[in-house]
Formats: sequence, C-alpha cells, structure tokens
Amino acid sequence: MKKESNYIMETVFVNIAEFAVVNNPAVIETRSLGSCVAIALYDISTRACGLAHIMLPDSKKVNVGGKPGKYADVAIESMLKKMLTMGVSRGNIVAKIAGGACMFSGLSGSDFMNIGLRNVSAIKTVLKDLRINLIAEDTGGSYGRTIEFHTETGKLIVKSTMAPTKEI
Amino acid sequence: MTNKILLHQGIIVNDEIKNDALLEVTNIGAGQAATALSQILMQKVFITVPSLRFVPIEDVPESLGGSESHIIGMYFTISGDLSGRIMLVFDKKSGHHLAALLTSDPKNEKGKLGEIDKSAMMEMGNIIANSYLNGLAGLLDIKLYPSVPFFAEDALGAVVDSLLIEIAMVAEKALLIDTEMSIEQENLKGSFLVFPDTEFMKKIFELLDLRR
Repeated sequence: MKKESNYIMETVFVNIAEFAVVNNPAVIETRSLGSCVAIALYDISTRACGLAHIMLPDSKKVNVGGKPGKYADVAIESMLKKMLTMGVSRGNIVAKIAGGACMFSGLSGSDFMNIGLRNVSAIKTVLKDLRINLIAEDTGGSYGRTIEFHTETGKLIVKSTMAPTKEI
Repeated sequence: MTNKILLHQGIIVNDEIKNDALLEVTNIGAGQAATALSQILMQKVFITVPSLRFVPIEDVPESLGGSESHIIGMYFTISGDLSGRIMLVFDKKSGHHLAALLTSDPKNEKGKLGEIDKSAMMEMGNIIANSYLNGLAGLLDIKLYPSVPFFAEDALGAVVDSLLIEIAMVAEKALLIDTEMSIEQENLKGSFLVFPDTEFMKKIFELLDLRR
C-alpha cells in the first residue's frame, strides 16, 4: 500500500444544495450542516461515491426550483443515475447520512424545528424506495457538523466545534 | 461586511426611489436598535448605512463571512402587518465580550457561553429587535411583533441554514438587509440582518405610496 505522504488526495468541496460524484480516490467535504443533511452514496467495490448537501425533503411539495442537490428526492436520484453511468452496480451501493440538527433549542414543537428531522426521514424514505441500505448515520442533536467522506476507506468523518470528532 | 448597495434583480432593481425609501425605513429601525443597545451598555454605538442585497440562498453563508466562522446568533420571526426574519450575528470574540459586559463577568470571554450569558444575550437581542420593529412600526403606522429570541452558538453556516431552508421553500434568492453595529471603545462588532418576505416589500411600498 502506498504511503500517505507520497501522494496528495484530491479534496472535493460540496456547497449547500449541491452534489458531487467521484470515481477516483478523493475526500469529499461539505461544511457546516445545521438542519441540512449530507448523504453519501458509496459503492463498496469500485469505491465510487456521491455526496449531496440537502436542504429540503421533497421537491414535489414546493413550487420553487433550485440546484439539483437542494431536495432529498432529486439529489439522491441524480447521484444514483450518475453513479450508474460510471458502471457502478446498483446492488453494491450503500448510504451514510449526517446532519439534521435543530440549531435553535427554543423552537420546540414547531415545523421549523422539525425540518432537520423531516429531512432525515425523507431521505430514509427515498432510500427505502430505491432499496439502498443505510449503513450508518449521525443525525439530530443541536450542533453543526462538517463532514468528510474518504472514498478509499468508505469512512465518513463528522467534525463539530461543539462535539468530539466521530467516524461512522 | 460592506455598506455598498449591491442589487441584482427582483422587485427593487433599477428603482432608486424604492431603494432609498427602503433604506431610509430600515435605517430608522436600525437607529432605534442602536440607541437601545447604547442605553443598555452606556456606550456609543455606531451603525453603518444598511446595505440591501439580493443573494442566491446558497451564497448567503459566504456573503455573511463564511460558513465556518464561529458565531453567536439570535433569531426572531416578525409577525403582524409585515412578516420576515431577523438575525443578530456576533463573531465569537465580540459575542463573548458583549456577554461579559452585560453580565459584568469578565470570565465569560473564553469557551462557550453559559446559561446566564445566553439569557443576558437573548434579553439584549429582544430589546434590539423590539426597538427595530417599533421604529419601523411607528414610522409606517402599523403593528409589528417579534417572536421570542432563539439562540445558537456554532458555525455560521449551521446557524443560518434552518432560516435559509424556510426561505428556500418559497424563493431561490434571499433579500438581505444588513446593518453593522460597532462599539469602537470595546472593539466590538455585530450585524443586524433582516430577511423580509416578498410581501414585506410590497406592503412597505404601498404604505409609502410608492406603488408602481
């Protein structure tokens, strides 16, 4: 195995409401998720990976367009489609998610507070419909998360200024 | 943050009279807010001329200073005759310094704010938001109410994303009115941000008799 110091891994940044798909060794990063949720679709054999920074649960429930990573349904389907064109076999794809916090503790009970939870549950429904296994998640809480997906290892690193770094 | 007026498109584009009117109205609100803050702290508070920006939702964190910056944020919804959202943002250093001034407890400046600091900040936020809305309401002869304050201390992107999600349900761009407040003597800075709903603007123009 190559020593890490011998080469620099490419880092791909995913902005809010965007997604990226890579099929070469890379670190995919997205920053400061609050109520937003990041989802990584990962092919365990080819190590191709898609990562999206999702804002809203369902494109069909609102009358506004936006970037393809904005809605859970559109983002997941678009990533899957792109991965399949890369020769990824559908049965090999698994998913990991992180985010969906409630940043303002005073907002209990309102819809506004539940947006993080609603995003998480929408993603789970889409994954179930597409028969993709969700193998790890770090969701909820009341703190922001910055995540890195390492395609070589399939590990999702979750960093926060308010909580210790996790690996899922 | 700048006091330049950057406009791209939308309701207020290419219309200097509407721009000026909106800035003037906002300025009066911000002036009231600054006066209130000045009275609480017994210090001179300076404010910039408000800036109006129409920003794609996904670019808002960057335009506010980067999604990674550690901030103290307070969030209010506006209800009554107009609706919208108010966000008060302090960088970590300013926020902690302000909390120390409010509680007369200089130990607060490191680590994360404690419960007492939080409630002092929320009370201050409450007064600032109320003063702002009272200024606007008095000028326009309407009724405006802020919600209770909601507090968060974290990365800017994470703090503002729930607010952006709310706006994203109805629009692709957010209108952002930004006023910077500073207390030079204490080297302290914060931003008073207003995200008016589209109806907000229409109604203000109606009230000012600027319908066209």
